[in-house]
Amino acid sequence: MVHLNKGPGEVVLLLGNEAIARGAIEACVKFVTGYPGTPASEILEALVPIADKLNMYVNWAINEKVALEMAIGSAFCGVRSLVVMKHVGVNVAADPLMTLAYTGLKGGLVLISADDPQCHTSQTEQDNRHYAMLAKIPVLEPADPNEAKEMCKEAFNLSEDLELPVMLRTTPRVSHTTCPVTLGEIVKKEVKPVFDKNIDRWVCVGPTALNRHKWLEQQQSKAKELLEKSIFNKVISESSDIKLGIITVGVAYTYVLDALRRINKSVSILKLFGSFPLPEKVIANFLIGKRRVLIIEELDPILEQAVRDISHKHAIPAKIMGKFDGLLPLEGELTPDHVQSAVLSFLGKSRKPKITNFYKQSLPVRPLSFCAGCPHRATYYVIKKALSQFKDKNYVILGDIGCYTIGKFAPFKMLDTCLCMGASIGTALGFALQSAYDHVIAVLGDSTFLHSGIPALINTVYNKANVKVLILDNEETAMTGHQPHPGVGLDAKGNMLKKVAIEDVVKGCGVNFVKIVDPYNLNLSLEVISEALTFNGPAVVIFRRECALTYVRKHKNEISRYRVDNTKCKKCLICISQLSCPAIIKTKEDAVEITDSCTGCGLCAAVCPSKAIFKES
Amino acid sequence: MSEYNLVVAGVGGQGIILFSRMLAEAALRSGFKAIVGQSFTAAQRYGSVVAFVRIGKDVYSPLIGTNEANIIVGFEPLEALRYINLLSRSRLVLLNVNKVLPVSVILKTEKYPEISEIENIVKQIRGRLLKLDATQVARSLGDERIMNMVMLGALSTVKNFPISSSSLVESIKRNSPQSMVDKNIEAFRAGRCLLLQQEQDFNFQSNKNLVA
Repeated sequence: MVHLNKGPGEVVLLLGNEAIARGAIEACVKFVTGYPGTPASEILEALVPIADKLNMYVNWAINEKVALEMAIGSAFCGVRSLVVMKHVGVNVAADPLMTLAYTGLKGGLVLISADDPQCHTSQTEQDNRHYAMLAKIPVLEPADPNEAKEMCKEAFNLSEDLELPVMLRTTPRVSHTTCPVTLGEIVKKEVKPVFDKNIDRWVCVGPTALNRHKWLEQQQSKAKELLEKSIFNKVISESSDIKLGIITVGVAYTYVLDALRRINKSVSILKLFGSFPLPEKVIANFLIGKRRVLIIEELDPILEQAVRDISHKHAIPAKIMGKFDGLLPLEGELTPDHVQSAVLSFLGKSRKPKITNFYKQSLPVRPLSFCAGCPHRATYYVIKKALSQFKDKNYVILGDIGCYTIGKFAPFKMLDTCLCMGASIGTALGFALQSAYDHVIAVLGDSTFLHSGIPALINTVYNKANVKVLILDNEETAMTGHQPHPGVGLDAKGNMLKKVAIEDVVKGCGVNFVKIVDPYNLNLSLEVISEALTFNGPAVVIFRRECALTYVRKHKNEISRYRVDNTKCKKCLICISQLSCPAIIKTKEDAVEITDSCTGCGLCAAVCPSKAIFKES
Repeated sequence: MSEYNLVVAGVGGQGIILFSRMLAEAALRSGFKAIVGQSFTAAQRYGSVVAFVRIGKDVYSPLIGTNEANIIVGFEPLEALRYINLLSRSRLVLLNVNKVLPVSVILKTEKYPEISEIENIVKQIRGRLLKLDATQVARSLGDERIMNMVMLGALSTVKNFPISSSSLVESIKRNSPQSMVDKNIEAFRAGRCLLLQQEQDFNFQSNKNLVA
């Protein structure tokens, strides 16, 4: 369905993330890595099927920091390298990023930061343009998939011209938008990897670092100069009132175009390549002669503040409006409604076109639930059951980032905290050292444990803390689309690499109590977790069972499903209220039915008090 | 036509993404620009899923604002109602009446809205509601998963719809796995026939009323 290797000139429908992948191909990128995270994952995945043909290294890394460091090593050798992650992944990779800006590089390095205004799938909606400003590296912000592809290519040129990493910042409305994209020429260039050894540049400490900081500051004016001339700065000037203007960046530009057409107004627009470093001359020229200028950008008013500074510096009396005036919200993603309303207010229209909400009542929501047959459902069921045996003991469960975060929702409601990747164990250690709870339990997944759980586990052992770590191992990074990781031993293409067994890692961290159990085996699971809870000291239980979706994909034709015997069913609905399995539904006739999405895990049969659920022969 | 906006609303697993892609590809072949804004984060996990399909010469953003949609294609009644405010006045709701009950409704902690709520709104804004049980049609064809193709067929009958039915069939051929091509086209035709029949009955009824 994806035509990433088609020839130039063709117009194909591409997802924003696929367009970025095509941009990387056209830019002759030879090294691609990252860590899965919505909305970034499809970029690397789109490259997997054609990587070999293009002689391109494409594989997931254990976490974002390691991914960036790998890309740095590759770029130091002069090879164009792309590293993809979601916005919070940049927090993990921030350490090498800051120093990379000092050392600079030889081969182009582009960091995709897939931001998530609206927290569609994230714990924060942090605005990663701040990272670009902190590191003092350019950040490009595409408005749509076409521009995303072009900007990806341009980011590599810019990176090599400046010898700096460049950030390409996307948002879900670019990453996950599909539109026709015009394919370009694929540059074919074989680069021989060469590293130019130089301790005064690459060994960045002390006086060397100070020198490199000076160099970085010098690069700023060069960067500004290049970006003053960026083809992605556009002035659309058909204003009916030349004293008004709009400055915008990223996907907000598309909302502005639609809003102006709808309200049938023309206002001159300055659309910028991105938000840092800003083309001061382009902006000042746009501001001259304007009475009022509206700034439209998502999340923090970074552009707005900078434009205010520029107008002040150049003594241009234009009134700069936007988020500081409350015309647009500081939180959440922008919508066509927001932008239209802000533009109308800006134009001083007191009579706005009537927008009517026909329906105002709140509707039942569909909370995320575990998939049919998900092993995590069984695990949470067992955890709940095990804890109910110790009625006189209080407990706290520290959560983490992954499918198992769904344990937060009904019917389990088992999580007390969730912060970021790998935080469960460290937070648990903090709780344990406070001795406020009898049972301190950390719950995290296999990929998350490898990503950033290991140091915290070592610190737990070191502190002899009574923390129980439950690793819900479904043998992949499931939440983001079933990516492999070192614990599975496969690469992104499905080839076998070295498998790093999680239990060996856990033992290596010094944990004495390590048990592996199949969560479908409810009795044994209950026994093991109860034993872990009564064990004095750090204990790790690995609940290992392949992700149900992956299992179904592999074994489509050999699934024995469960069914309901309606002569025995007493309609107590315990199967639904305690398990919330999407395969179990209530029919129009009020009967309980198990649909074909059943994967045959049998958990419902185990909890049914009437023994009304049986396995299909 | 400057823009034609469709909101496709349903539940994860109902095939909304593929439906939207087929629509967009057909639009492209018909000489229009097409943009699909989609939320597929919860796609596999039974959450609400929505896609915004925008067709026209002059469309830019991947989202549809309040009262800007020409059609709400509801794969599920509750989800259609969730996005009903995006509908423009005197426009159309195409609805699969088959409900997918949220757990809270099954456990009676929340109430599933009546389909009449949609009927009332449509009446109030002088729009139109086209109902069909696309899930039932798909089931009768032997596979519930092709409900999305039944809906595509139904959509193809809508008056002044800018994309031809043959162009949609071409999209089905290009985007279906080999083993599903015939089945998907069959479902498309079933949806199309059902709606054409309904339309005929509707016209007959309204003519009769007129005479009376």
